[in-house]
Amino acid sequence: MAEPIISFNDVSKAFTTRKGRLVAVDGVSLDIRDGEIFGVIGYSGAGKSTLVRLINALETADSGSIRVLGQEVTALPERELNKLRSKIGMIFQQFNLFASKTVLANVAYPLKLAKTPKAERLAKARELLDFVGIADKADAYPAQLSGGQKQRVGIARALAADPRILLADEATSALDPETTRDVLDLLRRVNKDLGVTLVLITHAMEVVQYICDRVAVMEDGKVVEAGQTYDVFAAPTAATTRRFINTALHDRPSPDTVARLRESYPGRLVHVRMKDSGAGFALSKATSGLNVAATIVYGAITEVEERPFGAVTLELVGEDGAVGQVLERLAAGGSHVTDLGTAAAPLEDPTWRELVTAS
Amino acid sequence: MIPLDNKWADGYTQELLDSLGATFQMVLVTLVVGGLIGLAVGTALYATRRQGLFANRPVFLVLNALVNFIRPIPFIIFITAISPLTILVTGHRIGIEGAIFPMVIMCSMATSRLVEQALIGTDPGIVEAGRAMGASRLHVLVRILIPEALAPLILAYAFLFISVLDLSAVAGTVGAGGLGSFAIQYGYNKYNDYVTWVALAVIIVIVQVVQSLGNWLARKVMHR
Repeated sequence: MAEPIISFNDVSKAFTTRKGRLVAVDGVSLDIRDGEIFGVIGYSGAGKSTLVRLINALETADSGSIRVLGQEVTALPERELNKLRSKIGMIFQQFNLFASKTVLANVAYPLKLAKTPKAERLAKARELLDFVGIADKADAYPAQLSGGQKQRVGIARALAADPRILLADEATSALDPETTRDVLDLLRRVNKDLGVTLVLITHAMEVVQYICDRVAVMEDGKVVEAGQTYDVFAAPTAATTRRFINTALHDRPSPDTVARLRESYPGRLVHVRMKDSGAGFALSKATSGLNVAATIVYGAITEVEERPFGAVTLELVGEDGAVGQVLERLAAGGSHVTDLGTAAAPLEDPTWRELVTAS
Repeated sequence: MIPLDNKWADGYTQELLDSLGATFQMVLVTLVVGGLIGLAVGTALYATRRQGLFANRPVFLVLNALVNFIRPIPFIIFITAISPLTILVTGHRIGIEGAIFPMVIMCSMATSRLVEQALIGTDPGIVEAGRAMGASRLHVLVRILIPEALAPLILAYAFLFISVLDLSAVAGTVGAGGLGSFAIQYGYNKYNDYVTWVALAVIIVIVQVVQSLGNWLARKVMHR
């Protein structure tokens, strides 16, 4: 297999603050592959912003090794670092555009740094503005643009020097949901059409769900879980990951919701999480030949990594034996089944308890 | 009882014009030289502070102490206290040359604070964006940050013009002439309030024009 485009090996970074030493990145090992969209998700303070800044050496690691584009970043002198940084684009939550320069001048700036002739860099900047869809704003100043437009300028500027890697630090966190989707679609085009590897920092699982091939979940400076996005969604192991998934999908009813559901649906409630495409939701197959009425009472089916994914809560009404058989069939079909019991004999959702106590 | 002689005597107009010329000479030389020194010192203050692009505690502390030490000294005391140095540097103890040297020093101290503040007011994200593009730290400081801080810098220099005008009035005490000296000599000393008011009116007009010009320029470069 080819060398990863970015590779962390036991990397740590601490800051000295007024409150004492803060370990922002704690023994992280991680490989990011050429051409993928890699997400890093975590709550604020989890260390993800520091992690991404270690890639272009805006922060320097205390220990460990970081290889980017075949170079050991931690050993590079400043001059070489500046050269490496020019091959890594970066976009920011607050856009960080140069307010005193026009949109066109902003986009052309990295090329000005590279001493590209003026005519050439302006032509390239116009081309990029066209690519991001705001060619008409070339002569405007950043203050005259909306948030989404500013981020498009940010993306165009980050792409000006033909980078191999684009770092996105909470790039959509300041945008409304619709604009977020537009910007994520644009980032996907950057990845697919231009072959740029994307490293995307976010605290929104929807963003990971929508765009990331793989994801790492960070908590207290550590990567607590990492893998294919679909696998992480389908079988999360860390409590933090489950909480994030729940915020994105709203697939699992909270204890309060379960209590309300029991009032209308006194039968056996089971939570069924699809583990792989297909099998889990063949409800009629699970109940065929058995005298069990299955009703979907809660849940969501959506897409992760462009594959169907979801979880539903069912009310199953029938003989205990028959209901038990349905549960067995569902589990055999690859679904993860949690029994919530009936209104008369309720069972607590153990994963939910984990979600709550973990925070 | 000395009678008031509120008259505009022959020759006053010429005196006023000469004074105006002396004032402009002092103010402009001071602003250009002191302004440039202050720009350098202020940028250094910003760059060497904690978390700065060239964070350097000893350099910051020395510059900071220097500015803090000189700036609060009343100019009329400073101008006399520094006179041995003035002679050493300019060869003149009095006159315009003798006045400009202490003015330049005082002006550069004030400028450095204003420049530092203007730079602190810029968005730290700009530094990060510049660094992420591969710009050197010096490039970020000089070529990216200063243009970003241009509007507050212009306003700072308009403010400084007025402060330096104030300094130039004191310079009259070492025989440098200027509007301040004109007002004292022909107005206050001769009990001629009329002359004082004329001098004052001229100063007010200059200040208004410069401040308006500064506001207009700052607005023009602000783009928002």
